[in-house]
Formats: sequence, C-alpha cells, structure tokens
Amino acid sequence: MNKEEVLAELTALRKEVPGIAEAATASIDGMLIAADTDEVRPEVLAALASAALGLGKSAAHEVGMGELREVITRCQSGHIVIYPVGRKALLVLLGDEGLDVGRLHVRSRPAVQRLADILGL
Amino acid sequence: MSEPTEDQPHGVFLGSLLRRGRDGFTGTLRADGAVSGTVTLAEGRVIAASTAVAPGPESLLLRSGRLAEADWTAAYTDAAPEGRLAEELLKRGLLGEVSLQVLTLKALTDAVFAMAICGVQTCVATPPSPDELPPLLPAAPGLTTRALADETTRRLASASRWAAKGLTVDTYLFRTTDSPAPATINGRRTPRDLAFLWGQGLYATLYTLADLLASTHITTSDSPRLTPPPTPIPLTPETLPQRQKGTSPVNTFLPFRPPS
Repeated sequence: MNKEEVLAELTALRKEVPGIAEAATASIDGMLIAADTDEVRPEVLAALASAALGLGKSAAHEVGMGELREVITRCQSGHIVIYPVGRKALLVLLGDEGLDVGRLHVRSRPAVQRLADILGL
Repeated sequence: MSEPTEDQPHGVFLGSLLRRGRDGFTGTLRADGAVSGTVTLAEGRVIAASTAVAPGPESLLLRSGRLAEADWTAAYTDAAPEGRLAEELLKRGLLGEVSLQVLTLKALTDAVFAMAICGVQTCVATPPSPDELPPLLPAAPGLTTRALADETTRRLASASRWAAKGLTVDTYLFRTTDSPAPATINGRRTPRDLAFLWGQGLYATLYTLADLLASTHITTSDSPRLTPPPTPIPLTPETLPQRQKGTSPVNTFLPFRPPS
C-alpha cells in the first residue's frame, strides 16, 4: 500500500468536485490510513466514519434494501459522505452546503475503485 | 454590449439564455459542463438560478449571519412546503422587501456568472412540470435575459483580468507572512470555498481576493496545502492497520470534546 498514492486520490477528488473540504481513508474498523484534512481530527473522523458506516450497513441489512452504497449526513453548513471501499476500508468526505452530491456520486465511484486497487482490496 | 458567440466558453450558455428570453420561455434551463446548474425563467425573465459554485440565498443569509438558523428553520418549516417562504420572511420581519429583492437578484446574478465562468457545454430547456419543486426564493419580477447577459459579460471581463494574474475560481489561496488577510485563507480553500464560508457571492469574493492579491497579502497556487496527520500511524506494506484489543491509546491523545 502506498500512502502517497492514497493521498493523491483524495486530493484529486477534492479538486474534481467543488465543495469537498476534507477527506480521509480508514480501515473498516476505524483506523486511519491517510487524511487530507485541516480542521477536523483525522483519527476521530476515521473512527466515527467507521461507526456511521457500520450503522448504515446494519440498517440496510435490516430493511432488506440491498448493499449499502454510501452514508450521507446533511448538517446546517455541510455534508458528511462515507463510502465503503471494498470490504475492508472506507472513504469519508466532508463538503460544504453547496456540495453537488449528484456529481460527487458520479465522480467518487471511480475514485473508490482506484482506492480499493491501491489498498489491495 | 456585444452578442456572446458560441466559440467563447460561456457563449453557448448566454446565447441559449438570450434565446429563451426572446421566446418568452417559462421553465428551467439546465446547464451542464465543468459544473452543473439551473436557471429558472418565467415569461422570458430570469427569476432564479442555482449552482454548486455560488452560494444560494440560504447560504448568503445564514453564513453571513444576517439571519439566525432558528429563525430560518421556523420560517422554512411553516412556509416552504406551500412555496411562500418569501412572504413568510417578510411577515416575520426577518427581511425587508428591498433586502429580499436585492438578495434574490444578487444570488441569481452570481449563479449565472459562476456557471458562465466555469464553462457550460450543453443547455437543455424543460417546460415547467407539476412534479418539479419551484425555486425557494424566486426574484419578482426577475431580470430580463439581456440585462443578465450584459452584467455577466461585464463580470467575465473583470474575471478574465484577474485570471491573467493567477486568480481563478479554483485556485488555492495562501496568506503571505504577516498578512492582514483573513485567517480562513489558509491554502486549502478556493475562491468558491471562501464564498460559501463567508456567505457572500462568488463575484464579490473574487473582487475582494483580487484586491488582496494586488496588495500582495495573498498568493495563489494550483495545489492545496496538505496537512499531515498529527499522530501518524505506522503502516505495514502488506496489510491495512488493524485494531488490537486494549492497545489503543486513543483516549489519551484524543479526549472527548466537551459539548460547546
């Protein structure tokens, strides 16, 4: 696994989708792999994203709506978006309120796949 | 002012907008390109525009602190489902009629400028549909497409001068040493990001930044500042980091934040 490659993916996604402010990748149990963050504590973000993703997966399973695609939390001044990366990692993105979520989903799929490849998942 | 031509990056967009204006079109013009957005017209006049690159009326009101979140939420809950948010804001005395007019025109003019500067490749016009949600805060009576295109062309000319000095919508901005520029210019934000953060229009933000750039209080770069994690976790090349029961010192380094 090359941490620089992971960071390059996070930065590229940030530049590609207007509104993404911070990004991190973590293992599925919340251990930080790499972060392009500034104002948030990356280890804490990784741990909380892991918990939120787990909750989303459990809810998806319970209601029988198929595989979880992403978890989105919308707040007063922004969005928290969490994507599973393979079965063992996750990508968490923080965006402002202007984030184009539709565009993000389109752009993030290839990025998630590339992250999975880099992480060997 | 000269007619926009399609060989200019914004020509497709402004040309399409002017055509709909001349036709007295009512409905939505969807613009796609480097960014996406919509322009809503009523009988040929532009009454609203929205894009992810320029703050809308809600962001302009809340982020600038002109309106408290609780007041906005209360008015929104009571009136937005029936499409009468503007009347409710007036009724509650949260905004005056002139302020509301200025706000809605400012937001739509800024959104059209933002779409034009980012480059639009396709424009699709759709007539109004009963299933479609109307704009939250439409301008009444809105702007003619001619007035809007002229204003946008004027703004694009300014933006072109700033771009020649390195200031564009997506450049990252850094403060110089001992700069009086706001600390929010920290190498991780573009003019678009700062517009949302400051709760002011994209054009107004670029204008402010152009002044700061001219007085050498800030510099620009194509790449953001990267911040390394404060407590790097050693990685093994073959495997992802694994949590070992009872070994994490996380509570020592990162105590829970007390609620503010």
